[in-house]
Amino acid sequence: MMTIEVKNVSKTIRRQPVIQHASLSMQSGRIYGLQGINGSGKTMLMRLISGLIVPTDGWILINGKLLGKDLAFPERMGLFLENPAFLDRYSGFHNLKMLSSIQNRIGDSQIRSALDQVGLDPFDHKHYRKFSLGMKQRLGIAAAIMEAPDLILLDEPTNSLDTDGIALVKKILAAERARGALILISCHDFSILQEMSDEIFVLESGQIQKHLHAPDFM
Amino acid sequence: MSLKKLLWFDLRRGLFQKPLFFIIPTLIALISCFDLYRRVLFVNPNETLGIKISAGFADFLTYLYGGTTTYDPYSGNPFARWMLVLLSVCFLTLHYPNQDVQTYGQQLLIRTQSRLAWWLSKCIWNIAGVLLYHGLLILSAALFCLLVQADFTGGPQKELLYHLFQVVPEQRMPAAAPWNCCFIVLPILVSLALNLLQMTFALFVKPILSFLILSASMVSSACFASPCLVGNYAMILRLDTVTVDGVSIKAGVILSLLLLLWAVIVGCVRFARCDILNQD
Repeated sequence: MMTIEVKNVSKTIRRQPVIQHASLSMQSGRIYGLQGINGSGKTMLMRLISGLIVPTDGWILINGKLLGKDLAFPERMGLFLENPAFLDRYSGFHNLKMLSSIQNRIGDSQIRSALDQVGLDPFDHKHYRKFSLGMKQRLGIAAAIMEAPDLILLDEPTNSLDTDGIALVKKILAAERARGALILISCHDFSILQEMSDEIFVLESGQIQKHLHAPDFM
Repeated sequence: MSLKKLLWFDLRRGLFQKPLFFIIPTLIALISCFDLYRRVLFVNPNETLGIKISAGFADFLTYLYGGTTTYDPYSGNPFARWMLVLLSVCFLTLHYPNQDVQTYGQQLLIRTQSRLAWWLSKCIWNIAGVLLYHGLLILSAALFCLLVQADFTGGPQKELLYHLFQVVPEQRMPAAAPWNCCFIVLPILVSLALNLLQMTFALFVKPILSFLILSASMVSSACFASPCLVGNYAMILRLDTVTVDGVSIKAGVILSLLLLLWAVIVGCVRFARCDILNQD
């Protein structure tokens, strides 16, 4: 069971407020959507929750532990930020194998299964540099889900994906939710979020303007 | 455990898979050595030096790490070569940490769960890179010496010091210490400190600005023979065992170690709280 509490968090970068007094709480087994136009602060909020950037004010609690003090990054987190980067001279499988070797929680079969789930050939030896945009996107999603994390943060995962790819993402997220993961997904396309999310936070100029629950936006 | 794995990734991706780390020091050493060899042996030795002389290993190293006794903008050759030797490695280590943390390394970082491990891994990678660079520089010079059957035993020769670096007898220490490893260890130690400082500065400003700060400090060191400017300790010709009024080797070792330690600690504190953002 995972809980995340974001309490009155603000972030200023180069004197520009990018997140202002954001408060929200989330728990496992649900999909939360972040919706907003470009520059509304979706990615920044994701980065704050992932521990990559530090709040100027406020605090973030992950299972009651203060992020940035009690822990540097949320434990068991799968992170996918826009334009994922992998090693050009390695295949998709080898890229994921190297990442997974850090925590050593999963073996080759789980890596291949994650690749299969996102629609990539697990035995394909093609180097990452020869991947299409959509394939790169799929590999990024595979990296985020392969270790069965408790927290999955996905920033614009449907970018560059065709309709089949989008359907695949929806299917994967539903399975991850059923497994008990807490999923936070950002997307500028409201209709995609509507289909996938249990709750949606609407951001505008770095502020959470609306908090919608599933029946409200269906 | 995570530090060990991170370090292996850094050494592999940031060093062994970067051909320039191997090509640049080898080229600098071979070109410089050939230049010295040509100047000593083929440019009319009787007219230039008055006597028959051949350069030894110590002369080749002095040619690379010598610098200048006093800065003369019109005899730019030794100064430019010394700058090239020390700044090339700064440039080679400039971009990797920043690029890593914004790309694939970001995924490694969140999996290690430790910013401290990431920073320490980068420090060790940096030290390894600088040692590899200077190691290859010296090795290439040694191979060149073997090829031309140069002497490995003696120190820098007075006649060459005078004709190549304009070290006049009055500037030279009357009882110059025999050639020893400090002559070459100190420039490498300074180089280590400078590279770690650059990596730490890059946590506060853009990497290229950090490189420019380092370059400015090196130019200042060349212009002003002051013991406060660390670059002075990286010039063999400014050491007190070589020239009168030179800088102390002992002070150089202490200053370099202090700067090195300062860079590691300040970088560690800074990285623990710094924002990891993409370049765009």
